[in-house]
Amino acid sequence: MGRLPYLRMLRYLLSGVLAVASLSPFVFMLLISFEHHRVITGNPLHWIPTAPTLTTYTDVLTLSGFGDWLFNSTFVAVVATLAVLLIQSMAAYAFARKRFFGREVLFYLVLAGLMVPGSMTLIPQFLIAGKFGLLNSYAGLILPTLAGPLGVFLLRQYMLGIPQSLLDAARIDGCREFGVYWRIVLPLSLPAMGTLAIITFTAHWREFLWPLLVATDDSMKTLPVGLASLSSQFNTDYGAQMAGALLSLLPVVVVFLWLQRYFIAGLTAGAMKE
Amino acid sequence: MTTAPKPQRHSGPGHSAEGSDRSAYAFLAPYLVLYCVFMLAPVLWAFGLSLQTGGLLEGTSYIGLANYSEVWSNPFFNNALRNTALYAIIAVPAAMGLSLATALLVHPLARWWKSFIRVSLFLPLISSAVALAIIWRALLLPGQTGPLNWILGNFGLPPQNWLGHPDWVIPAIAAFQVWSGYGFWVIVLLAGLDAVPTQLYEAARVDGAGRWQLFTRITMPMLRPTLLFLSVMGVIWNLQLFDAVFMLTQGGPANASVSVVYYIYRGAFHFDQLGHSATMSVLLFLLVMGLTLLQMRYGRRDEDA
Repeated sequence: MGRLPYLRMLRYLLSGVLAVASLSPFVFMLLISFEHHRVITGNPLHWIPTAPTLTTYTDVLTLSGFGDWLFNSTFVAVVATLAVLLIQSMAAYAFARKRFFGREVLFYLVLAGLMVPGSMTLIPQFLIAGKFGLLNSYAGLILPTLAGPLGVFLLRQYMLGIPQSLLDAARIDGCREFGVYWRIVLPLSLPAMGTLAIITFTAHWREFLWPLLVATDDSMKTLPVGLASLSSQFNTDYGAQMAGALLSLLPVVVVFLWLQRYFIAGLTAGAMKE
Repeated sequence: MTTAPKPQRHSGPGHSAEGSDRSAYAFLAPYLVLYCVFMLAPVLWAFGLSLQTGGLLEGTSYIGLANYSEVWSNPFFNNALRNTALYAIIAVPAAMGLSLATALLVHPLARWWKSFIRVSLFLPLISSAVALAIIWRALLLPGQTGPLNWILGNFGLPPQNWLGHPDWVIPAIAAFQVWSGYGFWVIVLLAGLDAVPTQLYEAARVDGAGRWQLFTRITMPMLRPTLLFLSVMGVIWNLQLFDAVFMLTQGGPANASVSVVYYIYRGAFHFDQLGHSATMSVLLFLLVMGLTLLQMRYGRRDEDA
């Protein structure tokens, strides 16, 4: 496109300013995190720490249950993601490729679950978790989150596109029903599975309200819940709070920078029509 | 007597590939059990609870639809509803305008620059709202020397008690919501802009269309489904606002920032009013369902066109 070069420069400049503005709270967090009881008010504001230290980080790691929370968050997100992939892909396979009595009714019943906000199921789920003795347990943190129908829906759409001839060929070659699913349908659905994995993992890593209710023991908290209690433990110590926040962001940011293309494709997948 | 290998097993009658197939139930069973226990039962139970009064400690008793007639005259509920509407009314158009401007600004630029913008806007999307709120709580400290106030002061703007003043707390939390969700909007809009066929622009340019006409006659109509999707998602997302309120204000000052979900949470788990809270959650469900159906209906209509 024939554009005046200065207009193009202006585009770079303006979008650069927006990106910096969006990133600046993170920079603020980083700078503040290197000093205990950092005085963050002042005129003029001293952004650069005068006596940088890492004791804020070591204190957060040793004086709180941070290690437990990090483990719990990782464990819950990984196990829940694997379970969602397995259980929901099995259901999606049945809905996409099998004919059985009640298929339409069941599918629409599951689909209707997409319209249910988490806050509606919150109170009953809590009562059910209590009845089954799931409070302060990994099962309580994970099981209720596996019922969301998004994955079944996404995977079914994808599996509808797998050519029937491949499934027939597998059956002729002697695959049992589970073999057709495990050896043919699953490997062919890997792109959709990857998308679902990223959506599920990110959602679990960020989830706050459900773990806040279920994990009340300090040792069972996930990172967001732990972080919320950390900020009252280090009440006025903004340095330590920022160190905790930064530590909690680090693992998923590393994974994101490593797999960013898939993250971006994954989070736009639900939004764009094929 | 049959020595033929496995194929025999599945070639018998009644086992055509698409015939009614009982193995389907085996594949469905694990998910359906979870769905029934943790989705279907809770939804039905929420409806049931909404017809009761009381909580865990005093026990519940059936009162019919009384909760539903009571909520409309309950000032606390109306306040939460009003606040939540305000959050959405401020945050959704702001996010829409800002992200549309950003996407249009960045779209014609070099690919590596677009990736940089995407990555830098993506950080809040993968971070927990709790961590983000811890940063913002410090940025928004009141007084002349609070970090944001100090920055604004350099431009001659007066300091505000962002999270402590009833007039400022909703815009402040809405701004937090915009900032933490804005990247998603931009990324989706950039994908939407990529999907507009370039031939359309070329043809229009041959016909003598100017830049403004290209924008209003091609870009905007082609983005319409994406914008509709984003605004409905944005409204639904803001209707369920909880994390930011919990972390930034706990609903204060004097309930000025209580959102519907925060109201539900506090009612159920602090005040033990399960029936009352369940009623709110049912009303929120109806609202979200209505919006989703609207979205499905119009989304589909666009595909037909």
